[in-house]
Amino acid sequence: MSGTLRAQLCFLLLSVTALRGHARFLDIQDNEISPEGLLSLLSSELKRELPEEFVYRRALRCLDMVAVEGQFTFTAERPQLNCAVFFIGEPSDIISIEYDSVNIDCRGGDFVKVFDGWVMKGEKFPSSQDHPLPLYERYSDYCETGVTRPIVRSSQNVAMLFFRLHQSGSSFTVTFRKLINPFPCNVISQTPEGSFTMIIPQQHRNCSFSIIYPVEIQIGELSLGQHNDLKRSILGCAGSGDFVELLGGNGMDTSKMFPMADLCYSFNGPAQMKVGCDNTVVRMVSSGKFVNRVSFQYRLLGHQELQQMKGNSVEDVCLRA
Amino acid sequence: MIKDRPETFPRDQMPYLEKTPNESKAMLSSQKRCFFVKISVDSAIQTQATKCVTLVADRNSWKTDAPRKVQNPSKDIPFTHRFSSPLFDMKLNFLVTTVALLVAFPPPYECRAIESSSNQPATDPDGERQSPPVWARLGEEYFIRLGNRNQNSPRSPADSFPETSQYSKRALQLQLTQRLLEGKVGNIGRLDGNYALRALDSVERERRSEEPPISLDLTFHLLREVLEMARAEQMAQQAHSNRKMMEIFGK
Repeated sequence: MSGTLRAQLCFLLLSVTALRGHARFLDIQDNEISPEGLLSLLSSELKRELPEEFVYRRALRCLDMVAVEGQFTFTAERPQLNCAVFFIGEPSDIISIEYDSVNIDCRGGDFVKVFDGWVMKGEKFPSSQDHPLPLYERYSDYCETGVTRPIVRSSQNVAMLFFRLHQSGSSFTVTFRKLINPFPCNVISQTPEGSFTMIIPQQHRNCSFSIIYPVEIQIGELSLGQHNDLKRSILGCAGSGDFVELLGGNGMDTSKMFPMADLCYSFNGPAQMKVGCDNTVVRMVSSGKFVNRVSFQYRLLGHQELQQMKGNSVEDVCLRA
Repeated sequence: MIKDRPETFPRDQMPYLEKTPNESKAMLSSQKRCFFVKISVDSAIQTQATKCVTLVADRNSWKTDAPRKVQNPSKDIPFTHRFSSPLFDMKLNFLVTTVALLVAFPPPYECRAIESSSNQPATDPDGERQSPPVWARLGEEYFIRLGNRNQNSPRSPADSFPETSQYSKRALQLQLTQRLLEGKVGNIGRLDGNYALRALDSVERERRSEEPPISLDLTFHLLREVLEMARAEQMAQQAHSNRKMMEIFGK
């Protein structure tokens, strides 16, 4: 094989593997690309994965939140009937949970279920309007499908694990990994302060960015559609298919929250808004005809600011300023 | 099913059993079926009557209400000479008695000739009266059976029933309603239990399907605390792995 052809093949293989988001390295000696080096690209073992002794391990509690990749084990010392573990990653991650070893009594009423999203007080994030799957498909039960499909992937950066163990001595171990998501849609922010740019590339979907703190949001740039049309209507943004809305509420479900502001025209200057709710959401509705983009920053509202807003506001429903 | 039949019937066939296997199996819930029958001997139609048959236990065969089969006499022996045979004498006696009884005590009004796969849904008002009860009974049977099965399931009460998509549920419900309206009795056998369950619960399920079967009651305050603990753990782990990397590669 000539040198250029080999180099081109190598480049092709690199591009194909890079699309998955996993990088590999080639062992090149003496500027010669050997066949062994090429074949190593195709092997499924990731060179960047840490060896066994470097995997993070710890025990799970009945109520727990996990943000680190690693292997987590729960061992029941007494019957645990209502337990949940929250998983969260960076906004541009999706979550992968793999059952390593599960030692439970499925017939005795034990279960281990993974939910694609977060559920709290009967409200789920992302809401049914924003999630591609129907509700029952978002639950994945180990007792039903865990043996045949041991890896469960979420659609966004959050996931949950519900479990119930009746007998002491039952245990299970899961491996939590984060995978790359190039166009994140539906994110829960890990921090009360930060910034984010949400892009919906010509898809007919709705995406929410949820911050579970009272924050002040500053929208730096909003680009809806290809042209900077001023599609302002007196009645609000109800008519247009592409818009951004700011929601505030005290639950997880974005469809049950109150709209604080509607934006349906592109602009460049900063627009600020303080939302004094337990949960603040920036939601983008996209028709699929355009590439929509919104960039914003947020910071935590201090206690004094909240008190000030309470004094100014007449309404009870989530203070806004 | 009434077809144009030859007036003589082969010896080994019951004249009123012209049913396809699917139709036979479709008659699940009714014990009795009545047919219009022509009994003929020697190219001459002796009598016509409505005859009822009973479904046997394995539902794969039919037997007449009469204890013995009605056999057609041989064509070879002239009719007048048959009286001389004692066996034939008995058979003829029996035949005449049966026919006389049928004529004297006509079968109940709802017995009628069953027409299946015909395009005349409006011809028999009796048929339409008859089919809804069959359907309802069949429906109840299916509902009850499936209800018991779900109760006996070993899953915990927090679990939800298996749910189908809204579109398939609606489609099945429409199909079920359509069949009820058209009164196609013969199609009962093609329904299986899943259809009935989905049709019955589809409206309730659509309302209930949006409720998460498993949820956790947690305040935002508690959620934030757990989140902050997880963040602290992540920072500590990041620092630890950075240190390790520096140790390995920094040498």
